[in-house]
Amino acid sequence: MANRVRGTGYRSRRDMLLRAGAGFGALALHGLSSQSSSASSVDGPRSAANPTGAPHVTPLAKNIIFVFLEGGPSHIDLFDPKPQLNKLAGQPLPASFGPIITPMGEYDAPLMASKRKWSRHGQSGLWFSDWIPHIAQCADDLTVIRSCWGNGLNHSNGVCQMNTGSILAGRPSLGAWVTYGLGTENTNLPAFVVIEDEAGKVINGPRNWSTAFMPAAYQGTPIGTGPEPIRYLKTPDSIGASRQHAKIQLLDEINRRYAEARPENSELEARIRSYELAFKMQTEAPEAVNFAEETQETLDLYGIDKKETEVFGRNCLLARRLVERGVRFVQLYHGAGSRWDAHTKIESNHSGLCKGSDQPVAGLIRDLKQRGLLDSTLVIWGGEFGRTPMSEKGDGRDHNPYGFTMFMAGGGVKGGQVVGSTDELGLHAVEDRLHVHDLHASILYLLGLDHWQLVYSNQGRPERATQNEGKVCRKLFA
Amino acid sequence: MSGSSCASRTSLVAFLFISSFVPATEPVSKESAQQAVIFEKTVRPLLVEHCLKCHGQEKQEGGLRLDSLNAMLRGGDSGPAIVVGDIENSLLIAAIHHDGLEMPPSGKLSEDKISALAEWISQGAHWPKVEGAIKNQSRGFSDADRSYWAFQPLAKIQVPEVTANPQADRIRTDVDRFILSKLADRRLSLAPEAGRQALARRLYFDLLGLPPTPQEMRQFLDDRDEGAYQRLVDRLLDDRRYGERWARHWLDLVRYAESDGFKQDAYRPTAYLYRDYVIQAFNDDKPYDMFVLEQLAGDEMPGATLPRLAATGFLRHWIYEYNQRDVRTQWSNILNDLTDVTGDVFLGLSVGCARCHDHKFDPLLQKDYYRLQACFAPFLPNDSVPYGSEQQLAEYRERLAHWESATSQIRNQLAELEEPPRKKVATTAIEKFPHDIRPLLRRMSDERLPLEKQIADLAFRQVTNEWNTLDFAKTLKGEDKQRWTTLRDELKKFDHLKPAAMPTMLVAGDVGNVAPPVHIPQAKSVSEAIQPESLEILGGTELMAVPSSDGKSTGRRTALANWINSPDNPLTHRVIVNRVWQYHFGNGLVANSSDFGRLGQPPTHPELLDWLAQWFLENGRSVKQLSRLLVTSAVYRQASHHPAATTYARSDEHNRMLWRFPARRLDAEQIRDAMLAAAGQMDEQVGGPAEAHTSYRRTIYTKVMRNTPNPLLSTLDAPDGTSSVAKRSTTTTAVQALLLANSPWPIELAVKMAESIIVSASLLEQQIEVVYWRCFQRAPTDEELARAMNFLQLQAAAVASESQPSPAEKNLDEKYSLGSVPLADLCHVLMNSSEFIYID
Repeated sequence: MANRVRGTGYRSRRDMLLRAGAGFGALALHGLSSQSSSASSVDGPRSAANPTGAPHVTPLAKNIIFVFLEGGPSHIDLFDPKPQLNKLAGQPLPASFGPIITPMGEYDAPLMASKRKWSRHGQSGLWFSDWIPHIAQCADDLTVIRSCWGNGLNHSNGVCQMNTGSILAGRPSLGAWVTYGLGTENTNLPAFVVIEDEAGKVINGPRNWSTAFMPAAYQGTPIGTGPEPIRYLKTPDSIGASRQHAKIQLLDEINRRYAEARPENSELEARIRSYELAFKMQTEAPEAVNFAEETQETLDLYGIDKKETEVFGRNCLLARRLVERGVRFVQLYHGAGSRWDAHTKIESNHSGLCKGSDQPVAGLIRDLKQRGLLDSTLVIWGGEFGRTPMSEKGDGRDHNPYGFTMFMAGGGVKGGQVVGSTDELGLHAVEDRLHVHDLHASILYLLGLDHWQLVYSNQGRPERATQNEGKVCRKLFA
Repeated sequence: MSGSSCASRTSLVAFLFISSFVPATEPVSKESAQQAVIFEKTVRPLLVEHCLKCHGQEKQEGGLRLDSLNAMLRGGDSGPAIVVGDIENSLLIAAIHHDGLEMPPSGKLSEDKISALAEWISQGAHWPKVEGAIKNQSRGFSDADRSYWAFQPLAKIQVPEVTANPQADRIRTDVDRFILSKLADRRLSLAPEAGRQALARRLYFDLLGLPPTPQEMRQFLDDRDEGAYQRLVDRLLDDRRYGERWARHWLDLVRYAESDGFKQDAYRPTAYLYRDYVIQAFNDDKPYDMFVLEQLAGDEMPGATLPRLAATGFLRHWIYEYNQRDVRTQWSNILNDLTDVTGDVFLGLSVGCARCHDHKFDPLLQKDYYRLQACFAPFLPNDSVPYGSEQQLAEYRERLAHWESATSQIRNQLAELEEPPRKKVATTAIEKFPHDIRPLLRRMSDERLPLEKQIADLAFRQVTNEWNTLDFAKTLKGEDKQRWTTLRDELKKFDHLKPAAMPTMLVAGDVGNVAPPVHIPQAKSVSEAIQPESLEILGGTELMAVPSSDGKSTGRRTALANWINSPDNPLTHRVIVNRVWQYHFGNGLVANSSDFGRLGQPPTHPELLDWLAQWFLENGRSVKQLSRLLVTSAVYRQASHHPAATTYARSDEHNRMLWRFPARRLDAEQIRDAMLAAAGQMDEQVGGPAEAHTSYRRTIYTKVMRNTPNPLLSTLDAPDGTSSVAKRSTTTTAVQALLLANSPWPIELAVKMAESIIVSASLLEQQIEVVYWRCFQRAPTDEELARAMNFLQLQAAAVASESQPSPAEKNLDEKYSLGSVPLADLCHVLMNSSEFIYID
């Protein structure tokens, strides 16, 4: 594709369209093209990686909502029942499992039984623990992947890898790659947004949604449910509407005159558009977070009527509203600040967090489904790792990146199936092992991007989202 | 990190956002990209390991070679070794199945390897295009490798003769002759000389990172003397603010940041000492070889002064995770970081691509990577050097000794009481590490081998952390607790004698004068330890390291610096002059200024590049002299608009031949600093610990936190400080617009700016004039003046009717009456304008 752009040798206006044509910059496109051309030839959204607008493969999903349970939810207490664990509880891990490294050195600690009650749900009969009764009701929409694994031993590594593919800082996040690859669908909202349940608490902070060596245009934008959903969206209260309008008017004039005298510099026109878009966003974003038009029934579906689910329920509902408005990639954090990190007292820790997230997540899936959006929206649930079958401090579990569970729903994913498995104790993924790179390759594939073709040239070096690793797991797909 | 990212030559995606567009290389399909990876990851290592010893360059058993596709197709005594796409008829497959022939004779390959070879043949036997025969460990390079431009000695270049050129009268320096001669070849010409205002503004931002003050600009415009520009150049190069701008270029390259970059992202309170060293080095115009030596080996230099130790901060900018139990992996990550960044910064080579395998495109062996890493293998971070002036340090030592002697009894008793809980904590802390590390942590220090010392040093940082959080008041019980409390209270009585702790620096050291052995990780056969040597393509000769007489250092880093600094090193000086060129002209003569390999671009002006490198060597390796040469050239002094732009763009769309000066947006730091300057609020304090994002210090003196960067800077494309950045992108986004238009900081500065103008100019026209001069360094046109007057009137009405002024505005309004808030609005509008953040 790159050579096509080059081959056609786009000149100023066309070139400019493309220069503005990625990520947030892509917002510029609609404004520009609708003004510059007749309605019949309005350009579609573009991305720099993909200027023809054509995906690499047939996309099965258009949007993605990645629910990130931060801190490492225990797969063996939620999705992956291990009867053998309860039988061997109290004993050390059999030597046959081989040595592993755990951050708190709990390798030698005795195995700890899961206290959960397990039951099968849906026509598919998938197993769920009693901590997640609402998600269990969505059984037939889920592909539960029990064989995920990664390299991140600690939160920072794990969260970094789940977001960027690498345990070390310095690579673009998956959302940035998707934005780079596909651009945006909505002209007035960012293509990649991040919703935190507690702002400023997410491990690694904005680095998780940054672009590293790619241009800043592809970075994620934090968005909240408050009166100013995007930072600095609002004109300060002290400045009235006509006063602000006059400022913007003057700025526009000054910038236009400057740009007109410098036709060879297309960045200048993109700058003018960036202000127009910023002000369109001032209307669009508050509208997206205004739930007034939602019925009580919908609010109840997400648990917004109940104290323990109100906050995350709102965030999940916001995610749906953003997807409806064409936001491409929504990263939704629950338990920001490693709250799922149950080194001690897993019973009280997980029961509280499950209560706060179970209904909102299930509500999101059901709501998307009833609105016909689930087919085009990929919902992913998971943390940076799972937890060990060995106990820690008697009533907790340590980090386990060697085997853990995630689930996917909607957008091209087969419902009601389990993919992969861990060993008899839930320590290592054994069957159909899915590394984080494989997950990323599969996610990109569902969105229509081939992880081999999605290349960004970093100072001459071809970089890929999956660092030249990763295999698409076709078992996930419908 | 870049190590895993070099699998295949593929279509480089055009990143259209970036003002300096770099054309893509040849496109390659997805399939072949994938096949290239399979070849590199599986087939190549397999052939090297199992086949080439007997079927390679040295020996050809059975007349067969397996080191190139042609050789395989040609085959040996028994016929062709492979038939592409046909496993059944490929002799090689039969042989490795021990079907007829039994290969390799030492034992059958694993099933995985057999199926990998079979798959490779059935998929078309991909062979890398840029490479003929693959290398056995000791194999030589191809002719193409050996003649690759970046590895050639600097050529002796004659300055081109351009007397016949119609623009010969424009020539100001020899640099112009090279550019003019190439322009003439392409039937292009220089743009007219830039206007003096545009030129001065360009020069100020370029050399100082700041706009000229209105007075400075007027002074220059009034100085009609022939030598005025030259004098301005000299003055700016001597200005201490020059270092504050040029250090930023270097900090981008060395991944400078002031925090750890993991979950904790702990602040590094003395990291700034390195930043101050770099600023000073640029201001002092430190010869480049000395600059390189001090950063790589300042601690090994005789009489290592504090600035030299601070220079080794270069080796301390790696990300660090304070609680990573997998110590070995973290340690190897650190060594890899040092190796990669050294290759990027000083050699302009992506050596990181050779970490796991020989480089795919460049003649860099995996062994080369570890030859470089061998220079860092004995590295040991040192956090114990206190920082202060001679006098401060002497005073500190004296006071400390006094306090120590006064309290020694108490402290001994305390230590006795604290020992058991400390031991207990250490024991549990050690048990959190993997089994293979625990025994070496329990050993006495002098019983540890060099590598074990390094691992232990890293691990014990975690133990120390746990000690630091120990609360003895809680841990001790009964009588012990009482005694401890009494003793501690007793000790407190001496607090007035105790000097405040001196900050300690982040510097480099060695583990001793013996280096741990370096081997290629996961290598099948353990070879002899890899020694510090130059790259194979540059001779592969030993770097002579002299261990220090005090037993503290191996001298390997000094040896590395000496090799880098050698005038015969073909990379070093091309790389640095190219960087300086890029900082002045937006693009390097070699576009990828940190990758002179085949993945980068060849130089647009190879003769000029070599001539400049030679010139640099002959002129004291002085960056300032080089800058002077470049900014006084006619190429630099030309306008950013060419009358024939439309025609010229057809043959040189991206202005690589420099027929006009490339206009560009300012960097994030320049924009923030320009706001402070325009508002007249710049805090002129120099150096010292970093300050908050909201401070009025120059941006280079504000905190660089890896996890929480200043959003204003990061949305304006400032680097994140995790890996080397050779060139920034320029993006334009709505988020930038929101930050500039609505966030409090620019508004606050606009109000301050208005206030500072009102106190000195009373008439509206005068005030508008000053706003224009402060922001754009020029007077408003009549039309602009009239429009601004009109704006102020409109705003006055709007403010009166509908606004609820902020406290700052209210204050302004009350102090200076109506009209001051509208003026602040005008300042704010101009600070948001393109003219404010672009240079012509």
